[in-house]
Parts: sequence; C-alpha cells; structure tokens
Amino acid sequence: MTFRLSLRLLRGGGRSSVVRLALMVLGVALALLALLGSWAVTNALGERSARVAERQSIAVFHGPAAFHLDEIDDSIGLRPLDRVLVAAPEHAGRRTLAALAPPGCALLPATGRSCISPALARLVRSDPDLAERLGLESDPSLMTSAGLRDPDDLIAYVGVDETSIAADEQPAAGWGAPRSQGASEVSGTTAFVEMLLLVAVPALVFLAIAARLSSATRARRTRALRLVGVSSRQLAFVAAFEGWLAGIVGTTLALLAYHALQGPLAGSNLPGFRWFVSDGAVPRWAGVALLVVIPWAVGRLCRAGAVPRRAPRRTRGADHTSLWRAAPLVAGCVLAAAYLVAARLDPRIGHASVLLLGVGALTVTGLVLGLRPIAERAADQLAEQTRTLSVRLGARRLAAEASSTVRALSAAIALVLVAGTGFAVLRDVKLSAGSPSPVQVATLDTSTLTAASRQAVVHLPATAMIGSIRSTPRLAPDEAPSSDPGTAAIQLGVTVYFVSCATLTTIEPTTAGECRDGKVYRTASTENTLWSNQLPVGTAITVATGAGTTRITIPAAELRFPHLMGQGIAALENDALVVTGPPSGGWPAGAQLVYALPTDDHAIRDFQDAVARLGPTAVAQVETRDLDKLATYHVQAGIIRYGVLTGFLLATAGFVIAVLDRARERRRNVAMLRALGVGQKVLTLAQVVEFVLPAAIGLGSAVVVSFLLGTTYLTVSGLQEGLYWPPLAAAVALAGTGTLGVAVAGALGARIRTTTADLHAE
Amino acid sequence: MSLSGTGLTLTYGATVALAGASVTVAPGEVVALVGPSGSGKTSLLYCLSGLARPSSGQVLVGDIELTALDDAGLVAVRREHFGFVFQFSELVPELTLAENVALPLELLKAGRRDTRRRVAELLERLGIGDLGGRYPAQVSGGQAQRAAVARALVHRPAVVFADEPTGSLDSANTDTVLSALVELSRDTGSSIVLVTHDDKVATAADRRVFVRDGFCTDEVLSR
Repeated sequence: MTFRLSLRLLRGGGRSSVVRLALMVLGVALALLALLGSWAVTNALGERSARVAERQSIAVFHGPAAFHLDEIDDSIGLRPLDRVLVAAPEHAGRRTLAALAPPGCALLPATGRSCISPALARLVRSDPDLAERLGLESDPSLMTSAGLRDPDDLIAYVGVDETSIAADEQPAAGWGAPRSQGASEVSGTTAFVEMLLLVAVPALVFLAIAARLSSATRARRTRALRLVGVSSRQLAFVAAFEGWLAGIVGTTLALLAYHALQGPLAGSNLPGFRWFVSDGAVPRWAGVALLVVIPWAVGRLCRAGAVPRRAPRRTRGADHTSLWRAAPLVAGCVLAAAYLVAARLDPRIGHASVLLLGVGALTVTGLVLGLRPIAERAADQLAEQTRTLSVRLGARRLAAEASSTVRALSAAIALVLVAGTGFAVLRDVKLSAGSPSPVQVATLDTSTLTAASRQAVVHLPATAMIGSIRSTPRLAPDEAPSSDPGTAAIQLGVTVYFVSCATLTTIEPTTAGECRDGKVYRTASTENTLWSNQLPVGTAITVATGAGTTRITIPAAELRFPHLMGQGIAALENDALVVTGPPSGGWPAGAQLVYALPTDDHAIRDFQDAVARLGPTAVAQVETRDLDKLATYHVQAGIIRYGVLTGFLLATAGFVIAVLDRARERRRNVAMLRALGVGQKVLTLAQVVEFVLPAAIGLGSAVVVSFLLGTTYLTVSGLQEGLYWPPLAAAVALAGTGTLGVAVAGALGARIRTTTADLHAE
Repeated sequence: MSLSGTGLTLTYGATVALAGASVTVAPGEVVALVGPSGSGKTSLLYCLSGLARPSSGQVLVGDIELTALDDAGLVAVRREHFGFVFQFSELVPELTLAENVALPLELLKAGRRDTRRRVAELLERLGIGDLGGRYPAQVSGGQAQRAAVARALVHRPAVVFADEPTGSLDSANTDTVLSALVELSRDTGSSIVLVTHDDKVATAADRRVFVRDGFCTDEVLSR
C-alpha cells in the first residue's frame, strides 16, 4: 500500500514533481560522475607507480647474474627518458629471452635489438636522427601498457654487448619490485586526500541540496499525510521513495556517462598527466555497490529533508547567530598579517610551517563559521538603509534564510580559498624544481663521448661554456696523501679551467680588469682565504688534453674573485688554475664542461637535443632544473587545478539549483506579489540581491583571505618579497564566475511563471 | 469607478470554469459572489481582477478595458486600482505588518511621511496599531488577516477583491474582519467583490450574485 501511495504521490505531483525528480536525478548523476572522475585520477596514480615498481630490476649481489644492465637517466628536451641498456646472456635462446623480458616487452632485447614505448616510437618517427642517437634499430618492437607508467612514458630497452655497458653496470636477476615500492610524481594518498577535500565535499553538498529540493512542499505533504493517519514508518518510506528512485536512475546515468567519458578524460591531461583507460575502469562489483549505496544515501537525505519544521517565529534581530562566530576569522587574519609584516621586516623569522598551518586553519574555520552572522547583519543593515523595495525585500529574505543560503555557498567558498592559497604554496614546489635565475646551468662529462664528438662540444648551442680538467696527480704509487691540505692539493691534482677572458668576465665580472687571453692564472677568493696561496709558484703540473699532455707552471699572477659557491654558472674553486684559452688538441675524456643556457624551455631542449646528437650515451645534466620535481609540480598543479575546477562547478551548480528550487517554493508568495502589482523587475532584483549579497561577501572574503595566507606563506618562506598576484587572479576568476552564476540563477528564478492556481490555499 | 464583466468564458483544459458569466459592480457597492464549490465564483473573481485572462468576453474598469491589456498593463491597473484579500492573508513573511500594509503605497511611489501616517491610521482602526513592527509569523491568523485588509485598502483602490476573506477565521474574527473590510471600503469609496460560501458573510453585501455552472443566475439585493 505504501509503495502504491508513493507512486501515486509522485504521479499526482504534476509538472513540478517531474521537474523536481529530474533535478534530483541530475544532481545525483553529476555528483557521482565528479566523484568517479576524481577516483580515476587517484587510482591512475597508484597504477602508474605500481607499474614503475614492476619494471625495476632485481639486483644480484652474490652469485651469477641472469643479465647485465645500465640504466641511464636521459631526457629528450625536458621530458625524462629512461634508457636501459641490457646485455643478454650469450647464446640465450628465445625461451630465455622471453623469461627475462622486462614488463611490456615480449623478449629481453638481444644485441642490436630494442623494445621501446609507443610515445618514444612516435618521437623517433618524427625525428629520424633520434633512433641513431639512442642506438635504436630501425624497427624496434613496441611495449604494451603493462610496462609503461602512462601513455606518454618515454622508455627504451636497448640490447647491447656487455662491453658497451659502463663499469658501474648492475648485474640483475630479473624484474619486479613489490607494487607498493613504486614511486609517482604525487603519491596516491596525497592525491586521494586532495580529491576528498576538493571534490568529494562539494559533491556531497551538491547531493544533499539535490535530495532536499522542494523540502517545504514535501514537509507540507508529510503533515497532511500524518493528519489522515499514515504511520511514521510509512511516512519515512514515502519520503525516501523519491530519493531511491532518483538515486537508482542517477547512479545508472552516471556509470553510463563515466563509461563513455572515461577515454576522453584519460587522454585529456587535465590533472597534469594522462593515463590508460583501464587504470580508471570501475570494477563491476563497485558499480553494483554504488547502485545500492547511493540510492540508500539519497533516500536518507530525502527523509531528513521531509521532516516538518516549525515555522520560524522571528523577532527582528533576536534570531541572528552570534557575531563571536567570526572571531576566529578576525584573529586568523590579524595573525597572518602580523606574520607577513614581521617577515618583511626581518627575514630571519623563517618558515614555521606548523604555526602557519594553525593560522590558516583558524582563518578558514572563522570564515566558514562567521559568514552567516556577517551576512545576517549586512542584510539587516542594507534593509534598514535602503529605500528601494526590491533591495529591502531581497535583504530581508537573506536575513531570514541566511543559514541555508550560506550552507549552499560553503563549498564554493572553500574552493576559492584552496585556489588562492594552494597556487601560492605550489609556487614553492615550482621554485624547488628549478632556479628562477635567467641563467640555467648544464654540465656535461666528456667521458661519455667519443674522441670525435668531444671536439664538437664547443659548438653546442649555449650562451657560454667553461671546462675544467684535473691535473695528473703527482703522488708516487707507494706515497700516501699528505695530511697537510696544501700539499695534498698538489699531490692529488689541481683543477685547471680552460676559458677565454670574454667568457670568464661574463661569469666573474670582477676579473674583467685583470684577465688577458693566452695566460695562466691562479684563482684566489677575496672572501674565503682559508686555502689561498697554497700552490707554490713555479711548480710544474701535467694536464691531459686532446693533444696528449701539457705541462703548466704555476704562475704568480692571480685572478681574484668573490666566493660564489652556488651562484653564477660555475663555482670557481679556490687554489685552481685558469688558462685563458682552449686546451691544446681539444678536450680530453674526463673533462667537466659547464654551459650557461637561457631559461627558455625551447633553448634548453635544443641544447639537450644537440648533446644527444653527440652520441648515444652522451648526457647533459641541467643542474638548475630538477626534472623529477618539475614533473611533480606539473602533476600536483594539474591535480589541484582539476579538483578545484570540478569541485567549483559542483558547488556553483548546487547553489544554482538551490536558488531555482527556492524560487519554485516561493511561487505562492510571488503570485501574491504579482497580484498586488509588483513588477517583474522588482521581483528579479529582489531575488538577485538575496543571493548575490552573501555570494559576494563570502567569495570576496575568501579571495582576500586566500591572498593574505598565500602571500604570508611565500614571504615567511623567503620565496617572495612583494605580493604574489597569480593566485589572486585565480581566486578572483573563480569568485567572479560563481557570483555571476548566482546572479543569473537568481534572475532566472524570479521569472518563474505563476498562475492563479498558486494563489489557492493548500 | 464601475466594474463590469460581460459574457466571460474561461476554460482550464477540458474544464469549463466560466460559460458566459456577466456581472456589474457599481462604484462603492459590495457584491458577494455565492454558489456551491466548483461553480466558478473564484474564476469569475480572477477574470474581473485581471489575474486570469478569459477565453472570451470583456471586462471594463471605468473606461479601461482589462481584457485588451498586456501583462504589464494589467499589473499597472492592479497596482493602482485594485486591492486583494485572500483567505490566508498572504502577507510577505519577510516584511513587518506595517511594511506589508505600506507595500501598495510604496509601489505607487507615495511620500514616506504620508505612507507612514496612512498605515498607522489603518492599523489603529483595525485594532492592531501596536503590532506594526511584528512579522506575520509572530501574530495570530485574525491579526494577520486584519493587516491584509489594511493592505488592500491603504491606497484607496477602486475595487477590492476578496476571496474567502474569512474562510480560515473563527466567528469572532470573522465578524471583526468583515466589518472592518466593509466599513473601510465605505470610507475610501471602494467597491468590494467578495467570494464566499458563508451566508452570514454574504448578507453583509449590498447584493448577492449566484454563480452556478459557470454563469451568473440570480441576483438578490440584501438591502
């Protein structure tokens, strides 16, 4: 009987009932779709790191090795490239090679064969020289996804002769560390927590709003049913029925939509990385579980929303929440501002992360708690001051229903806070990934080059180059190094720089007046005199060059410079020699070359491509760019961006639906006002004021607070001297969009058609 | 200002609410529309007041033809010439009683001082002078309905339309509200068109018009 009653009520509710049900279905579907998308991101991160673990080689420390390998951290431009040189056992048959195959490859590549990722294969096809530079065959076999981190992974297993592998190669027994040992740019746990806060909370708020649509109408229906003797259990069933129906249909739609959108989402690069579709597939059992849990949850929410509430008996001012709820907001802002000022005045204040976190938490809590009393009082003030009917009506409506309005806004406010603060904190990560200096530094070890390619190093596209060679040690075979540092420096070799004066003065401008080409100088730091002048003038040392060996006599002439460890493109050592000219016969193996590069990513890529053309094992390290940290930054920024946008869309959609629903619930009130002669403009403006006012206050406060917290964080961390504006731009954009969305929804809601039927008493 | 409706028909889907009803209301007259439930008396009231558009027929208020006006025009006429009293007061819950009563004058952009004086006067006459600062949820049904009567008459409209104005009140409040409505309308010179199924209320009118099956059948003068 109760089931039939529920169906009758649903059918008998007419158009408004259908609209309400449709909105609930849409709400459930959107919320669940957003949650599934977020789950896909975190699951994909976990799968990526697991596959990385599975392709780690198992080292052999005792006993015979199955094969040998040398893992080279290479790059193509700014994209990391894993090059794994593998030396298969001699005379290994196909069965053996198959057993030793790395994940994703059918066989362990024999000498001259290779197995590469599809992304690398695409690059090789577009750049024919790349195959030769990387030592690949003309038709390498392609890896399956089982061995790849993600579709963009650049990895190559290159079969080589054992003699080609460097001396520090690793004997290996096979592949596959435990999945839990895998590493990702951002851990799955971190991503999960971020998604929980950024997406799950707004999704749940959205779900709650969808489940409580037309709550006043349903509460009246519940009262009427109670009057005729329907029991509490039956009432609960009736109230939950609509929720179950919306939950089942909405969940089904969400799962179907997710299945259709999975591919585009996986390939979109929205969260900063791409993943395989299978990484985000929802297991069948999970789909079934969702079809049970979600409808149950929505039903519970519907039941809670249908409980009749007493009509508010309102006395002007008495029902307002206490303004003390905003105290944490004020305290937090004052503390953050004090922190900021103190850090500007004395940089030694330092970064006390726990304290900053506490201040941030206090401020955010205060904003969420304090918005309601602030909105109520602002509305009251506005209603008192204005002479415009529409503004007064809107302000009074806000003052009467501030609680539910603010609750619907809270998710959007939280996301603006995250956007403004999070992107400031991310700047920390980005800066740790690379120097902001206009000069980037790359180093190249010539021992990885052939004799011919060592001569080409001077032609690499760079702003400047300085090379150093260690002189031949003078220690006799049976002679121990001296305990005297000065003597030991001579015994163990001297660093000899080969650089022109023109280049040297760009690196060390203080040497400009003293440097002459074709000369030899001793280096002497003007600040660190601890080891200065330890080289006896007149001592002869031997340096290996491209022409063989060269004898250099230690001169009396000095080049004095400040101690620049950590600055410039090269830290000139104290007690070294500078030869203002190239080494005779070119650079020998073992020279260390340091290049100055522009900070432009394209210039860095061109440099690295040019290095790769020198030889298959030639590798230049961009010292001022940490590619791993850069990757972490991109993925972390992508996840936060994805989470904030998704969460914000949900939060705004939820608020818009709440606005439209409230407009529908007010039909009778609106019909009466129209009967009295109130024009459409007045009704529209009243609706807009009612919702835009709290949105502007809440979102505007969130923008200011997030800017304050973000700038404080960067200043006390020593990362920013002035104000950092980009996060403010992000926060303002979100807040502006949200407020505009609310205004449009308010205006649309006010245009709801009313008829004389709305004037009839229920 | 006289009010007349001629040959009014109104259909809701397949339901014929009015089938050629005609009625005339003289200036200052109190007319009660009576009849059984579903006879079309509320539909006739809605057509006469411009809240519903008749399918055919004509409504004249003075020399203004309501049926020829667009929505904006109807709103303007209602604002200036009509007042309304509904069964459940229908006050704006977010405004005080005084603000509710002042609403029609505010819409007509009357002076603030005059508005305040007029509102205070009406509230006093209706015995709710000390409740002006309260919200509708804080007063009784009878008090709210008296405020609704004040709101309907504050701008001295030509016609007051009242749909079951005492339908939700007890007998004591019925007498109070009814007498207030009639007395005040006589002071302002407003006509009243009153829908009721209560004979006692109907006898307070100058004339009773019987509505049956969507048209007016008999008219009885009460005085």
